Amino acid sequence: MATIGTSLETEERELEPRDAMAASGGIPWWERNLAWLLVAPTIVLLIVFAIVPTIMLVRFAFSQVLLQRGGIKTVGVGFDNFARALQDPLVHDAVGITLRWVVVVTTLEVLLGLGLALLLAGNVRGRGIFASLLIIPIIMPPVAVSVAWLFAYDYTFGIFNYLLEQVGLAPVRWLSDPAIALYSMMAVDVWQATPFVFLLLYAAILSLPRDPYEAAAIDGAGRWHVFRTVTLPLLGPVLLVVVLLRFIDAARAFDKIYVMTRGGPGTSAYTMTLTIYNEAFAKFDFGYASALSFLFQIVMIVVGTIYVKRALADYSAPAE
Amino acid sequence: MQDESIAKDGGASRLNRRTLLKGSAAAGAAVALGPISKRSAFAVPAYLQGTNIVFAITNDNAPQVQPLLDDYSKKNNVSIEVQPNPYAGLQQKLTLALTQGTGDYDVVSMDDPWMPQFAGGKFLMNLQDLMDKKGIKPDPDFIPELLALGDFPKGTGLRGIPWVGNVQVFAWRKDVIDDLKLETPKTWDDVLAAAKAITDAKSASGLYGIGLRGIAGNDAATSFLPVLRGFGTDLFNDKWQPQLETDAAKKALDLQLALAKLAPPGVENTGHPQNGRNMYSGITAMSGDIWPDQLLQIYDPSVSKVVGKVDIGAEPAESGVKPANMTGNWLLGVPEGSQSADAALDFILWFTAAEQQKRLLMDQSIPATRTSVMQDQEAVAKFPFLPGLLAAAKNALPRPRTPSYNAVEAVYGQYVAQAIAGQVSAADALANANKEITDIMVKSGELKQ
Repeated sequence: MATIGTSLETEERELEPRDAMAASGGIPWWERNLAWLLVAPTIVLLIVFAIVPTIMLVRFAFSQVLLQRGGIKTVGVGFDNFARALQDPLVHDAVGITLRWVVVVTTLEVLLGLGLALLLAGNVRGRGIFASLLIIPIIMPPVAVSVAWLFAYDYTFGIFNYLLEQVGLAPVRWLSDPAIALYSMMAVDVWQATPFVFLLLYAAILSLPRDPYEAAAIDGAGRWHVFRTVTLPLLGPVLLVVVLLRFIDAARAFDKIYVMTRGGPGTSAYTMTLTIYNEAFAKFDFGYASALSFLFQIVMIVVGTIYVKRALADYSAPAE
Repeated sequence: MQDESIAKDGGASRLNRRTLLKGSAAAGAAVALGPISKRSAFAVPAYLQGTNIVFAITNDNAPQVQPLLDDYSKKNNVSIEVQPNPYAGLQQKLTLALTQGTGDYDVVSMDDPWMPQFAGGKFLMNLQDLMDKKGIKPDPDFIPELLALGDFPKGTGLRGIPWVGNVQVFAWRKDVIDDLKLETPKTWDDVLAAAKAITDAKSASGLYGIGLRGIAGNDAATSFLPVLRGFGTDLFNDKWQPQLETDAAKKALDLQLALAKLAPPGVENTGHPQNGRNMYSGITAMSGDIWPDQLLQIYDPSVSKVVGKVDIGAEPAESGVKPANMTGNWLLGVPEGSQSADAALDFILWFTAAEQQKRLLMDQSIPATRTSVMQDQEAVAKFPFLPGLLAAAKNALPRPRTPSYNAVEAVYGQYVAQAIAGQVSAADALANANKEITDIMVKSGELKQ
């Protein structure tokens, strides 16, 4: 008690002169509110670009939205839009397609990116040039990449079918066969996003401490053993963040699919984002599109939160 | 006014020699340039002077119309700010801007299926009213069937004036038809038989019997609608009840699916540009979904392998059904909320005049909406298909004139595409489309249940 009393008294004594200055108007208002002023732009941006649209989205999700002269009119429909989403076969398909897309591209991108990073982190000649070349796909706009691949995949004029014909194989309907088209487009995403994974993991590998490797070498550990017991655990936190980033980006897949097949053949590549877009801007059903968007956001937030809590729990700093 | 301002500024002190020289030079230039420009600087109405017109148009059309816009700007002391957008982007932006009356645009270029939504909702100014105030009547030179596209609801006055006379036609390779000793198809069953004969005989050498579009939405819908109509039905009856669960619709989709099997590989992912390319590259021998921009490529020796080998005509129709083509015109309108409505109208009337229409046709290969231009001897010499196109335009039908057409098209275009891709059966596609379209029409209040 005595300690507390002493400390409070000390605080009071320390605060006295400042309070006195403030009372007499010595500290300008902006200095007194500096903390608020510094965060104010961020708060304003957050309100304008995140909170207001989210409120509008939720409002629309429970409404039929009518575009009428003089403004948007909303008619409350309760949970109708959500009930419709649960029964809509197009949405069921879109969930499956999105899951397939996320799992396949994230897995391939992480495995290939990790492989490349390990390869180039070794003493490979010309690794600087390789690393520079690998960055090119990242800086290319997705639409330009999609158009280039669209030509490459063309049944009649495309380079892939030309090469197949040169070795005596039948041409493939890369983008028009419902069994193949989705995977053809996944390949484009893998081509463009793998260098991103590579770049992060390459930097992480180069910054790993050397001591564990020296100890492992003294103990005579093999390459695979070193990778499994030293490299992978040390890379763990970065790897898990990379997986999360790729997962989120892959779940939002839109541009490449839209440019290359607009979700086709038929609707075989309608991901969730493409389905939402189609409902909003082809059918102009903003209420239903908002409900789908809301559900999609909730799922993403829940999955992301669980992942972060579970996966990164082992790497959290111990409580002091 | 000048005397008054001079007096207020303290007598003649501001009227110095430099001012006089400048004024004389400007007057001299105006007198010299007057006969060259149609409207001298002094004849330009006050509402045009220094006005800024914001013009929303497609990416493809923007560079094509720029020379005309430059001329109009110079002649009228008007600046025109062009806002180009891809097709889907333009539709989305106009839907939001027009319905909300943002006043973002003064002149908008619109595909004719959008007119019922934009004109029906009164999101566009009534050009007829604006013209009446100035004592201007619609020029009878416009092809009546195309001018009527801007009058929605019918009889309420023009809210759009057509400037691109697009009409969908049936096109066929007469050399291939002759080579295989086939008759020119008149019905869709004839088309199927001819397509089968051609694909069987020529696919090994890279020629297929038919070309059509299979991408979900507008593409698949636009290829299917003429077939549906050719079987004697339409998307709706006169009470706006969907007609996709009828025998005629079933026959039409079965035929479309049979045709898709005879089309070049990749039909599921074929859109408008690819369908045209297949025709002018000599990959397809027939298509019921050819538009004037594609005809221009077919007749262009620099890109086409089939110059002079393609004929066009009305869409095939089963016996007893009147053959018809489909319009896909582009119209100009003035959104409600525009602050430069008079200037916008002046621009639209100038832009759609015969002189400008001919320039667009001759220089930019944009089909005209005026009879005199489509019959112009110089134009016909350059584009021999113009008489056929004019005949098709006079016999053309628009897509169903409902404000909900965009949503309706997205639905049946999706199911037709799914059927072509083998995702659903024809019967399920039609039943699902019919149900969803019914829901849309009930929700919009156009159909009472």
